[in-house]
Amino acid sequence: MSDDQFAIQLRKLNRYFGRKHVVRDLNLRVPKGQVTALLGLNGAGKTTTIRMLMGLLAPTRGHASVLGEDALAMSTGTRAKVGYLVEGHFLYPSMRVRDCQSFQRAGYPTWNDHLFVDIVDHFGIDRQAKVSTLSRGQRAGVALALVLAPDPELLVLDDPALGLDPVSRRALNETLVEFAGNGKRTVLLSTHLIDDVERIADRVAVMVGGRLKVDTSLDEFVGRVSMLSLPESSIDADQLASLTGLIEARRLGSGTTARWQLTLVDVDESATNQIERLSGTPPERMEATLNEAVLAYLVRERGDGSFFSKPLIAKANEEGATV
Amino acid sequence: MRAIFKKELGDLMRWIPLGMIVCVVMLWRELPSNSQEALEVDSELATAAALVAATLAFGLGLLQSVFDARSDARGYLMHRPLSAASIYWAKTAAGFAAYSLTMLPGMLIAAIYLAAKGPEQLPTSAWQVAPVVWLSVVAFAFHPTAVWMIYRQAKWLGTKALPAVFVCGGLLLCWLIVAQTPLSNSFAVVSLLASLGITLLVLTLFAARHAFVAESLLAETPMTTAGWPRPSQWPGIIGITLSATILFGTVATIAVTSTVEAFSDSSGDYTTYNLRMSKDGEFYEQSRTVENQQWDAPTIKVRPVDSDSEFQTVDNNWPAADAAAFVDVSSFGSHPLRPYRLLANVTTDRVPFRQVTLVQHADKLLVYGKSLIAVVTPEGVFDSFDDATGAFKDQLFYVPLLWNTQPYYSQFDGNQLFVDGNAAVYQFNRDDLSVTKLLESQVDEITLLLSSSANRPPTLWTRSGNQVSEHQLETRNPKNDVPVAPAPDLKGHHTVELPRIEVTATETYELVSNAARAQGSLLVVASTADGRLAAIRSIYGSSDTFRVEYQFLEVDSQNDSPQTAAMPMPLSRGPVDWFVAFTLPPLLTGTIVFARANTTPGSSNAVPRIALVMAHSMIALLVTVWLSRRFDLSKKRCFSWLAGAILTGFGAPLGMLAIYRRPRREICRKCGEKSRVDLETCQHCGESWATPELEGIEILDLDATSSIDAKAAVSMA
Repeated sequence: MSDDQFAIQLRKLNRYFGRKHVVRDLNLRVPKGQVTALLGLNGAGKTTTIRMLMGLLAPTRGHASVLGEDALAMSTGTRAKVGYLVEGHFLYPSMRVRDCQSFQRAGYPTWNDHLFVDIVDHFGIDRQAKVSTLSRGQRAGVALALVLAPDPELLVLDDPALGLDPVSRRALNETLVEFAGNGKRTVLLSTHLIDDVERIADRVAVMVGGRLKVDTSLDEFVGRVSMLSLPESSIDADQLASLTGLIEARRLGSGTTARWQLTLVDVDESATNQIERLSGTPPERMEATLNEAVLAYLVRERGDGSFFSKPLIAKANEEGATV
Repeated sequence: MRAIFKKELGDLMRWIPLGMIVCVVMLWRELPSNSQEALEVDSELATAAALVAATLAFGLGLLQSVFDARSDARGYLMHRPLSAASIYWAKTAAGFAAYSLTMLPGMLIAAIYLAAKGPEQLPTSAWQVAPVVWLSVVAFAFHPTAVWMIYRQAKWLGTKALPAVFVCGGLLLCWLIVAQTPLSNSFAVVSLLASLGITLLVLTLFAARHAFVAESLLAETPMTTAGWPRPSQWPGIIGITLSATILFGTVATIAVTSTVEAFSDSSGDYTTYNLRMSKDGEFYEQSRTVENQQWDAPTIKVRPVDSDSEFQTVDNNWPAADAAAFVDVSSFGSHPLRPYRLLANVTTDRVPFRQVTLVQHADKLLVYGKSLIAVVTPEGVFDSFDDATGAFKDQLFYVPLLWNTQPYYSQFDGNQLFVDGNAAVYQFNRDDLSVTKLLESQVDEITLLLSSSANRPPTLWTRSGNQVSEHQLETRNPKNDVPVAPAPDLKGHHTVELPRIEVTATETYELVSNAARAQGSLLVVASTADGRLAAIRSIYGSSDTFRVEYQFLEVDSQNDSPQTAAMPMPLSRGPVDWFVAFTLPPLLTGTIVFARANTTPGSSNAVPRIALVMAHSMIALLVTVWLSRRFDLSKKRCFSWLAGAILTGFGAPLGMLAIYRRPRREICRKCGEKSRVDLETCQHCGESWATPELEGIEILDLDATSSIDAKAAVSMA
């Protein structure tokens, strides 16, 4: 694919905050006409990456371009073609909804008042209402309407579903599907909601610890990640660590019924044979969902399991014994 | 841009009424109720306005920037089809509009009040608000300063707030010119005020613009370190360097002077030296020592001029010749921002409380009691300003004749003398409040020489260039006695009543001087024994000694040059001055030292001061070089800062500390050296930064992430 087929291109993008290396050597291209979901835990570097590609934060090293222009020197014409929804659906609290409309409209040659009104009405929002009186879902609706009304070529959404109720989320998803449906518009969507990604995204990119681990189409991603199950007693953790392509090893259950649930990438016959050699039993193959595949990557950054250092039941038993 | 302006102004509107009330109250408090207050109203209003305006501008700047500095608010504001600079200017314009709306009512009320009162009730006019308007415009620099502070990259609050030092210093300087300094040249004052104000505003506006547009992007190093500084970076660099220079100079000077004073002997003697003539026509060097700050009981010692003998203590009966010091009337003028000038407070029987204030306004002399009593011109005395006809030629200068003539401190009361624009001498008649012209000739300096002998009447002396004229006087009313100097008293203070006088004869003498334009204090002395007259001119400089020229005044003198004597400087702060010279910017100190050395021939102690200036520059240069390496600055930037260090001394390295940050470095995998992380390649070996190793779990679509590095990395894995 040639360069002009990508709406966003990030090349060896790096960003430090003090000693912390937040974004590491990020190479990412977002093809035009597709919805790309950017996934990652809090602190993985998604918002930092988006701020850099919107020209709001200087990269420490590397380069970001949007619609063919350097992100740090984006012209006003290019900015008019990019819709950017900031994290938290920020709006000026002192404004009324109609004030937001007239404030945002300035400078956009393709602003569509009807589209704005349609979206606002869709969310059931009174245009005379003050932003400070709106619910979070309504604020999200206004913010989305402000971003979509200029009919942008590229839409960059930073966690648009943050804090939304299920109905608002569904409305948001429907709006996005409709917006990107004709294949002429590009969407980069940063989110934590994998279910939403499955509904609206064409591609998925997963950031772990500031690095890009996945950047592919949704189907290929799900197709290349496999899950296997083994009895826990058949293999120890050190042996598991030597497995090629192991994304995550998760122990399920306890006692004699405990089993390892392994998530691996690109599992072929030789990989299965290797596991069988080590464990002495053939692994049981399971179907991996998008949710499970993504989670397998994400838990690599942060330890999995309960927040409690000891299981609550064990703790209760200890306390009972003491009493 | 209009949408941003409208939105910002709308947000600020809620604060305007509160600010308006504060501004009106603060200015109203300073409005005058009597003529004394009225004459100071411009400086009082300027002081109040400067405080209110600076606080208001700073507050508005914070309101407009703190909230928008949050990443979500900033993202929402900045991502629109407008350049970042346009957004900045729209916000600033809205801030200025809100600021003007807040300040305007207070200034309007003050202007209306002053216009209504003057000049018939009080010496006031609406024009007196002009300094307030100007200072308010300049004080708006605090608005971009707040923006500059919020958006500039600095970790420590002290360095973040550094721009405020420069703006405070600039505004203080403007306020001093407006409220305090009586500069004589209108063009100089207006030019100085305009250039200072414009420089301050332009520097802060563009420095804040750079901070808002570029520094807010939080680059790894707050300012790029390569090449020459870009034009947009200069205002910030200059402002921060000036701030650091002002801060260092102020703190170091206070520290040095307070330390030296703390360890110095506060009960030390204070000695001044002069040349004096005795009644027998001999010249003597005189020392006058005040011990333990007993100013009324000095110890007077004398010795013959140019002798190496010890000073001999003398008492009050030492036969000093009568003497009077000239008053310079050539270098005083009007303040262009002040329509009224206080001339003098004089006593008169015309009003019940016996004191009136003489004020010049529009080439007329206004006499105020509780309100306007009379308007005086050479054509007569008038009841109302509008009725008055005639005018003085130029600025009037009240001749105080209260001058340290040593041995006399004489104060004249009664019918005071005025000089009209160096061209005529008038006497104010306190009985009928009129003026009488005594002389019409060029006057640079003037004095009245009283005699202690009844045989010798007082004489009025004027100097114009090298011509000194002696004017014989007579009282207009024969019943009045001519004033006579009190009995010789080396330590006395006297008040002499001056009756109405007239000039009867004039004699002119030639002053001979080695100085091309002789400067310094001039004393005329008369020897009562044989009636000889002499002139003594002290020419001060920066050295430890000062030169005194003296000559007898004779009508057909054949002297080509005066006799000279070297006298110790009256006061020398010695090492304190040296240390203070070390703390000030080398450019400033060097200029002062150089100028003094050139204007004072034989100045001997300029060398140690110049050495100190050089030492200051050298240390600052060394620190600058070290910091340039630490911050990894380019050679061009290093040269710029070295030039700054030569001019400002320690201000430059302190400015560097406030502007730059040491770039983060990591070890290059190829050469093993630490290299800057913000460069694309290793600064030592030129190798690109190594791509992080793959873990074997990556799923990267090569069509989409087809960077060469990624492909190579995947194939290796």
